Amino acid sequence: MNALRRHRALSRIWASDRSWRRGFTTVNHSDIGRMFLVLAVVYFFIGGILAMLIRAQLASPRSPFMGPEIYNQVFTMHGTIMMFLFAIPLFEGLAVYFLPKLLGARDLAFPRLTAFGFWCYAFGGSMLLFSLVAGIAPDSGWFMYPPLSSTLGSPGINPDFWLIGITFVEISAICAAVEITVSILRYRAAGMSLSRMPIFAWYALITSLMILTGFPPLILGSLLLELERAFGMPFFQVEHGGDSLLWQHLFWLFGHPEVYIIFLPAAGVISTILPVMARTTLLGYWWVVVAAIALGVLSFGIWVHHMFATGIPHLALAFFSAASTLVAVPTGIQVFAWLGTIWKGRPQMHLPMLWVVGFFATFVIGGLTGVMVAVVPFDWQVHDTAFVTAHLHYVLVGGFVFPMLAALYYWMPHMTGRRRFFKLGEAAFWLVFIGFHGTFLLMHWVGLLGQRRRIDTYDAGSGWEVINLISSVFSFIMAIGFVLVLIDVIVNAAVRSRGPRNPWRAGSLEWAMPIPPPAYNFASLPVVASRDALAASPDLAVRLARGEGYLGTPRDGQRETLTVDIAAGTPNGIVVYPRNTGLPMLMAFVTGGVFLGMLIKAYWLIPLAGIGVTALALRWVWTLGHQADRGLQDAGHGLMLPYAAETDDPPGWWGSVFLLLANATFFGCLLFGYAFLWTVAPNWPPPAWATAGWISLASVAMGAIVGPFGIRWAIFTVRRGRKSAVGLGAALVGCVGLIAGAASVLMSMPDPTRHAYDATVWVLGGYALFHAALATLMTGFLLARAACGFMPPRRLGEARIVQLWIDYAAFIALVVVAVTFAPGLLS
Amino acid sequence: MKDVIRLFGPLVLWLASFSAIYGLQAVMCRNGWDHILLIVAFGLAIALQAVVLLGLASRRYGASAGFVRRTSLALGVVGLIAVIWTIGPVVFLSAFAAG
Repeated sequence: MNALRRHRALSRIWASDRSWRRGFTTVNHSDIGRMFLVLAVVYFFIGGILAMLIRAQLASPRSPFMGPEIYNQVFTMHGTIMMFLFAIPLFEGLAVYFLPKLLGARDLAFPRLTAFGFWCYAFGGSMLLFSLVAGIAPDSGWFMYPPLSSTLGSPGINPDFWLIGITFVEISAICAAVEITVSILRYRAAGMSLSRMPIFAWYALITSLMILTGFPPLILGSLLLELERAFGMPFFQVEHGGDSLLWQHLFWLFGHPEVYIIFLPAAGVISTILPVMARTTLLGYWWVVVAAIALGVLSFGIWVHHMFATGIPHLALAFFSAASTLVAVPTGIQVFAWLGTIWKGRPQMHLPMLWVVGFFATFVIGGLTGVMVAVVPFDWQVHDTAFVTAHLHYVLVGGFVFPMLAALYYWMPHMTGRRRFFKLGEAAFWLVFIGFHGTFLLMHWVGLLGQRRRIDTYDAGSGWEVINLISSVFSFIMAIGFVLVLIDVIVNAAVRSRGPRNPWRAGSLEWAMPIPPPAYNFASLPVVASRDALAASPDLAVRLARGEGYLGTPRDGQRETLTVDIAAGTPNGIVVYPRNTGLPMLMAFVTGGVFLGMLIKAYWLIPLAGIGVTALALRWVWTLGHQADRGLQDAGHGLMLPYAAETDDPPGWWGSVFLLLANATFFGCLLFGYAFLWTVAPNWPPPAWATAGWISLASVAMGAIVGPFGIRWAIFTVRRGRKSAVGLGAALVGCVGLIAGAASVLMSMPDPTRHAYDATVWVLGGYALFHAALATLMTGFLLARAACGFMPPRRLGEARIVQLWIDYAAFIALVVVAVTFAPGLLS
Repeated sequence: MKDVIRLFGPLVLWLASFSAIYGLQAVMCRNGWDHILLIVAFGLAIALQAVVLLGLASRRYGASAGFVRRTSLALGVVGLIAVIWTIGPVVFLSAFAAG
């Protein structure tokens, strides 16, 4: 097969649907990545317009431009949009679009999950956008502190949009994080060991793991606050054993890692672009990897530095102050590695490099003011002032927006296949750079003079007038710069001047394909022997097009790629991807029914949508798999590999492991909340502890033994070619036992509005019940699959996935019963 | 999966120790327990971190691949430093004075 015929065959196999259906049915990572990126940029401009409204309001004292009610909505939505609807989705879009290309794969691990995540983002974001247009947007600040955000401070629907809309959007982030993690670990080019992995993939891996462990605290906090608002469960009400500080802990357990979740992908972009612009390789690759991992984990130990002014003990302040200063070390290592890379090479000031230099100047200032606010006495002085607003904008705009603009100009030729024609981008850079520093450098000053953040007005004679006016003027210069970037992109896409394949002479794999990239990325999959595979083998693109890599011959019209082992990158399986389908969009739409029902208090809609989601999920998984094992297949060059579905750890197993990581973090945070209220909140102990009946204890004990044993027995028998019905039946009985035990926890506390303890027991019981029901459903599904012949001996992946979920359900049921009933038994 | 655990494990252990000692301090403040308990916990955290570091350096539990081995060892050292730096204040400060 020659290169052209291969291209045509692969294009036919990998093509998205034509016409209007394409947007709704595509599961191709390039399509979904573009959709993420475009929508995130739309939200950036909406958030930017809100920022301009804020600066217009603050330009003069006693401004009549906006009343406080509108102003509160504007600044809340500005922060919310920029953090949740712009920054994280932009990273997701970038990773979804580029990772398979950087890793030498044809798509991500779970294409339908990518599409589902996008639609959750689109629907969840549109909820928030609707609230903004309707004038009922959240107005309690982007971190939604209760009691301001509880029914006491905000009786209207405004905070509900935030709590429910953001949770919906976070499903998208969790989906993307699972997707990215599994893809980086398993979907790489042959020979791409961890030491040869592109540096951006390291950063994306760390970021995704951080999303999996950083977002659950906020999802939990949002759930608890919504339960309080909707049903009166008093998690944050002091008079009923709650504590508003619990929200701050949960929020910042998410919120501080979030800063690094935003910064690390940008650092990955810098580490990718800078060596290319400096015509060299990254100095200290290994040091950068170590520093990035250290930074990612250390960032989870500093959440309380946002709470220095809440009156916590000196020793706790010292813990978090020390940890906050510690993160400066790995950050510094990365900055010095980048500076060393510039020093080592011969930097060329192309437009991406301009943005990289802008990043250095801005981010280092933001980092230094970060060290300042990590020192407790200084933080007490500037807490809740414009100084902190200025600091966070230096970190987030300097540390994220500037690198992303560098990425835009670096990869735009790849995405469009065009060269830039007009030079508007350079003018845009200077407008944004000067405008930004003119706006926010001054904001430090006015903060030190005492201007509080989030105030809607101030008096003449305060000494802040001139500073605010100048700051506002510069902010509009910055805004003009951003608009100019948009015009530049549109103009360059419209002019259609064809560009070269590798305009920057980069060495990474994404440039070893035609540009703009075809739907299948690589005509055959590369074998990698160095970190810069294209630099080591300049004719790689041609050789891959000729089919000299793996899977160069299309088979049975299937969409195929390779999986590899984690450390060495040795190929170990062939993955067959699903076809185009509207199922992800439909499922996201029906999932939205759960959230909508909660939002508009139409509670009948929630179980209805839940049933719909269950039916669609069953349809989703039922369409996978074959009834017979197909054995080893030729991957090219004599390499014989099994289909990944016929291995013990198929991609779905890995996806479940990382989803359970997020799930376990959620559960851990719930236990932390319970312990926090018990230990710190006033008005404890509760009026009564839950008491256990022997039936509930026995049913949980039975379920926790029989369920895990049954599924293992089923796997054991199938491996030996025998029927699995007995084992699966036992697993089902065990799961029913877990359901009974979890239900008994719920029934032990009849009134969850009485005290925070009662409410906590309800949430614990509900969580255990949900997982027991899920395990039951999965086991029932497996029984049906076995009955229909979908469990031949090599296809144990599905059973091993269900085993994970049964084990988890059993574990949490035991923990929930223990923490619920132990206090009553002990007292 | 073992390599992923080797890479992220040392600092996750630090995070667990850090959070546990922060929680222990809250429980101690509430119940008026002796400050010495915190110092003992600090010693235990250092010992655990050292054990993990030794494990990563051993042939039995450490990685065989050079890159993962070097990286996990470096992160083990970072974890040990992080424990000493961030939990060290228990030796010098009173546990219960409010800020």
